[in-house]
Amino acid sequence: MLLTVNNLSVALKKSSRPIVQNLDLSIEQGNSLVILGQSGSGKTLTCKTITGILNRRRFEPSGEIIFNGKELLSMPPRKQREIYGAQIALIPQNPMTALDPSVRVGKQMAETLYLHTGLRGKKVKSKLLTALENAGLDRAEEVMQSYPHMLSGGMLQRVLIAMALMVDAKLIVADEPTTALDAEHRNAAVDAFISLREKGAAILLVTHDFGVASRLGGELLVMKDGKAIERGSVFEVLQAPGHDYTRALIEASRLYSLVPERRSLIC
Amino acid sequence: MSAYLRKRLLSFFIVLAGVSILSFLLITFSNTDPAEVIARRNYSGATEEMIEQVRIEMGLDKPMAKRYFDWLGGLFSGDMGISLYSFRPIREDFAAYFPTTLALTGLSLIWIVVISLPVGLLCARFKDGIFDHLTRGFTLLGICLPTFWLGFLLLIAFAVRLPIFSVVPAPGLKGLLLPSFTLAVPVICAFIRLFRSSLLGELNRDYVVYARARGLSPRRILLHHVMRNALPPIIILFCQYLGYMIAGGAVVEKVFSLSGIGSYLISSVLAADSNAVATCIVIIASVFVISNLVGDIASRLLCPWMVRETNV
Repeated sequence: MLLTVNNLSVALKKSSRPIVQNLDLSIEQGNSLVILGQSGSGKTLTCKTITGILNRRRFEPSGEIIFNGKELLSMPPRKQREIYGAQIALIPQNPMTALDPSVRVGKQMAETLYLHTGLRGKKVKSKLLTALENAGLDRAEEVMQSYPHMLSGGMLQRVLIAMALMVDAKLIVADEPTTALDAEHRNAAVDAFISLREKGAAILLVTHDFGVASRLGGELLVMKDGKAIERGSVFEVLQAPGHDYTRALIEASRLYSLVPERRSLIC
Repeated sequence: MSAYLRKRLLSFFIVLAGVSILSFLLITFSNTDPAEVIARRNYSGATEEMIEQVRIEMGLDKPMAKRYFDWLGGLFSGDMGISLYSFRPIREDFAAYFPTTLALTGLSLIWIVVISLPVGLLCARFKDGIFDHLTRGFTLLGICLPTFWLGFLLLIAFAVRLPIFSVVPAPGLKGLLLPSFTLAVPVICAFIRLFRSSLLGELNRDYVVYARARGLSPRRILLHHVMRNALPPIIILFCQYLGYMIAGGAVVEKVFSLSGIGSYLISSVLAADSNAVATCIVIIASVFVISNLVGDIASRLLCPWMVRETNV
């Protein structure tokens, strides 16, 4: 198993109020897991804890996060940094604000590459260009020379995907990657994750959108009030939700045509 | 960027033209009649005819617009007229006083950069720690202290009790160390506060969180990314203070018995020397406007996204 989360709880330090409670999940190499839930269900916090960006001044995590046989929560920060960005890559919710606005995209990519591989000089450019092209960006050279504000949300998301590609990340954690995108880019983004999965990466995708979950497929975990209330394959859960909350969520999504009718799913 | 630059250069010239017109009007409508002052100095018991003669020699009988452009041309060519107080060419007075002010301001700027940037960084990095709390106390004190009092305190401490420096300024750099530090203290304190809050604002931005997810160390994030984005407000304020320090150095110059432009300006105002006052105003305003322009351009070069925000 590539990632195993055992009994993970995250509580507010001040009040000790738990936000995520006793969560278990696991992902294998080349598979995907979708965490689905409404706002405030604790899915983003779970995602932050796994990617090491949880604000430890405000939140206290407990439990185990085992990645590739190593426990992450108790690991010293220096060791953690060797894993984050290299083996676990994050695709954040808003790609428009994810990169330093004052540094060219190419330079930020090169910085990450150097940090994790020690690669510098002429080889860097060709590696970055290949990664950008593989992430579906035309005119990769132009993208490298641009500042983040010069690119669209969809393009920036592909840049972030390219950054995961260039370091051959084993696990890609995407926190609501489609929220900031329009419908056309949304499908393209999910397709990009599908192709990453086909290349052998594990995908952990957090969303509140059933449409995204059904397009990606794989395993599904539904969260409510910080707890996992239902799990199974995406299609099983969408076809026969076992929990009232999941059923209500699906019905609500259908009203907004986010989920295809059951028949089309079966086909 | 070029459209922005054109706009800024245009406003730069408009401001300078406005300042020069106002300064010229100051000379024209001041109670002191330059022709009379000079005639009475040159000829004892000068008659009205003699004064009129001097007025014609000085070109003061010409139309106002012509006089303005002559005066402006003089400023550019270095002929700024004659001081009505020292009766020397103002250019010579400037040559005597300006180097001290420049050295004083330059040294103060070095103090400001060397102290406020690292201290601000440390305060932001260790927010709410002991160092941060202590610095907060010191900066509040430093902002509140009047410059002249701080100057006297430093003189008592480092020239009387511990005779490292002399009360009468020593020639060269050593004589400027205490005065420049005194001039810099309130600015340093304001800068530490501003830089700290600017850094903390940046530290809450999304790109910092993502940089951590990329595996960057807190130190690298702070020095390579956060600091760069937090600098523009500091650069802009820094350039604004430059003009303030040239003119506002007068108090420090008086306390430390230095002869700089600040004290020259005050003597000129007291002596109703409108020629010298107008020249000082134009020069100080030019320094102020040029340094602001440089600050804005530097900020935009450092943070290119600011260009877009201005254009939107």
